[in-house]
Amino acid sequence: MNGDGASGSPIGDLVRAWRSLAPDDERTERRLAELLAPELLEGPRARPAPPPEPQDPAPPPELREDLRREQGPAMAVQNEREGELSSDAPLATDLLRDDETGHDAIALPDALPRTHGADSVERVAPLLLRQSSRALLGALVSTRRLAGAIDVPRLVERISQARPIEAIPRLAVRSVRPVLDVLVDESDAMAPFAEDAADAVERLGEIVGRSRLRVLRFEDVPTYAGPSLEELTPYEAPARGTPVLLLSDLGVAASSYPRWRGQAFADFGRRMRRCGCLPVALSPYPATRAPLAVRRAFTIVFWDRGTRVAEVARAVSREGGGLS
Amino acid sequence: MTQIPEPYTPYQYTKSFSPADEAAVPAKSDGKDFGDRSAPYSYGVDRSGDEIVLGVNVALAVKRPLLLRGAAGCGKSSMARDLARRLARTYYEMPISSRTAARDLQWSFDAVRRLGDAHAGGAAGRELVETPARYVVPGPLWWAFDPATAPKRGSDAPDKVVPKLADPGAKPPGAKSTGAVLLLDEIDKAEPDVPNDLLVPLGAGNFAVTDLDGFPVSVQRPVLIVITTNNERELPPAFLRRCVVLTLARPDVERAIRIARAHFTPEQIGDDDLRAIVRRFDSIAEDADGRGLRPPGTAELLDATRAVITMKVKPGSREWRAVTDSTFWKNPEPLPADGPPAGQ
Repeated sequence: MNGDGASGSPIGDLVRAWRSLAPDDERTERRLAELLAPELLEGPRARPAPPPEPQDPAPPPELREDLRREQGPAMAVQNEREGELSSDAPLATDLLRDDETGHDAIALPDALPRTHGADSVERVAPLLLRQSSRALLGALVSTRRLAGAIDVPRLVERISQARPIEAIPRLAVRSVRPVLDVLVDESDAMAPFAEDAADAVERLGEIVGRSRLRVLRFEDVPTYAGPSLEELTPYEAPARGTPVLLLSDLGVAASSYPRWRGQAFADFGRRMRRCGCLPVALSPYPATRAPLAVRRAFTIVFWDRGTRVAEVARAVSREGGGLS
Repeated sequence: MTQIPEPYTPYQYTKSFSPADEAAVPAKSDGKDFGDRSAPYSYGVDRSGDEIVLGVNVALAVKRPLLLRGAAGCGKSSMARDLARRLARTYYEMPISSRTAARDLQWSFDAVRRLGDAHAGGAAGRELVETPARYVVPGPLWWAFDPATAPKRGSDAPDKVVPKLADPGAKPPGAKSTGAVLLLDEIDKAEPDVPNDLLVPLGAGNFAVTDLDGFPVSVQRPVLIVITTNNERELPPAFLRRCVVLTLARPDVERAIRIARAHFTPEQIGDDDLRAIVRRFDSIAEDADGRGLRPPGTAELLDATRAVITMKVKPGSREWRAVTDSTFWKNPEPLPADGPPAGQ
């Protein structure tokens, strides 16, 4: 950096390094390219393999009807914004089926777009857009601190009232929480979202730092949680001020939704609040699907590609992620 | 049949930075240094040393920040200070915390002082308040980029209005400064947005001081920015693209001996005793790695050596083992009773 505006492309950097360092052997040349322009070393992208032969034909119509009854509204696709159930909702098996095999392909609703993986096996697209997931999850685990620029209007008001300035009033800035508990719901009904949960945990680790992230698993209700479902112990609330983030459907997608389960989620959320923690749920179903008691106990954020960062920041700050 | 490993062949290129030349490096601290970071960094002639030297040369050639990755205590920060010394450049450092904002690295504004001056009243007070340069405090990037404008913040007002600030950089001993090395220590401690906010100042080498009506600050001398990360947080790809990234691995036995020898003379600790400590360090580190626990870093190796010298404990003795174990092992899980060998 010497004032010549060291911006530029990796190729430009490589040319500059080449001129300056004059590499004298192939190994050094390659290492320079690795350091400055690794994309040059990547070969042409592999063509996607042809789709696999169909192995698992779709169930006949009568069996489909049985399956629909068995799954109930669990995997029914709903209107994203209004939370209404669609009467022609596809089955979970439909959503996960490779429709390029030509067998009983059902067009996916926009709420669940599909992507092609590297192996060409079609997968349901992730719940969060890759480009916004970092910002969205960051907003979810952030708090607001009075540590920004000076709040001039408040300061002027105080001076004009001839009141002493005990502390300089400052504007709020968002700040990532120092520690975070993440409780991952591994109930059967959350199985279709297991990859999304793993992605979210990975992303959260990148945001808050892996050493500051405690990831626990639970089934049915979070009252008991542990590093795995084989090591469940009663969940103790973390230190005051720590957000407790549930990656969960809050039980609403289960084939049956017994009253005790909703009550258990609500009790859990209330207990966290009493302990000074902020219970937040990232749920693949809109908050309107959860019972009122659960909605009151948790800040529920819709785990969906349409959810915006500003909505999340507003919800979290309104519900207790307020100024600290 | 035992295979003899092939000797390592170093990278072949024109080096502007060649640490093999130790002439400019003082053997001892200049008295103003502190802790482990005062001693020369040992680059060595092995593969890892060669990688480090190449990375430094590339960063100097392309004028990009050098991002050093590696576990805590592996010598990242010491290396920055050592680079300043070897390159005969003025050294600045800024430890990053969760409260550090990108602007703090460029400048800060002392609004409380201005408020105090405003309350003082009178014509004199008014003159002070109307000179914002008085309240601007240059950050490390400003000092590193342009040490000519930083002391007076670009103002030509008299010193009693805009006091002249002293350069906080550490000058290279016995040589005229040829530029600057700026250490931004532990960038991963900052809020996730901070690295992105630094893209322009670090990439283009300039910024505008908005509190001084956009006073321009730009790079006026060679500057090497060294940024360290313990990998606690992932850094944004756009930020990584603007850096030359170098990963410092834990040193092997021979390299660790060289590093320790750069800090302690043979009169302080003999070769055999030093090797015993390093072997203990290495075996405990391997044990920790195998169990997924935190291994000791270079800083702990130096601590243990210093403790053994100061406490005059005999290598291999019960006391020696207690001293080294307590320095090397900081995990809550106990060291296995029959665990790593005693080092001899």
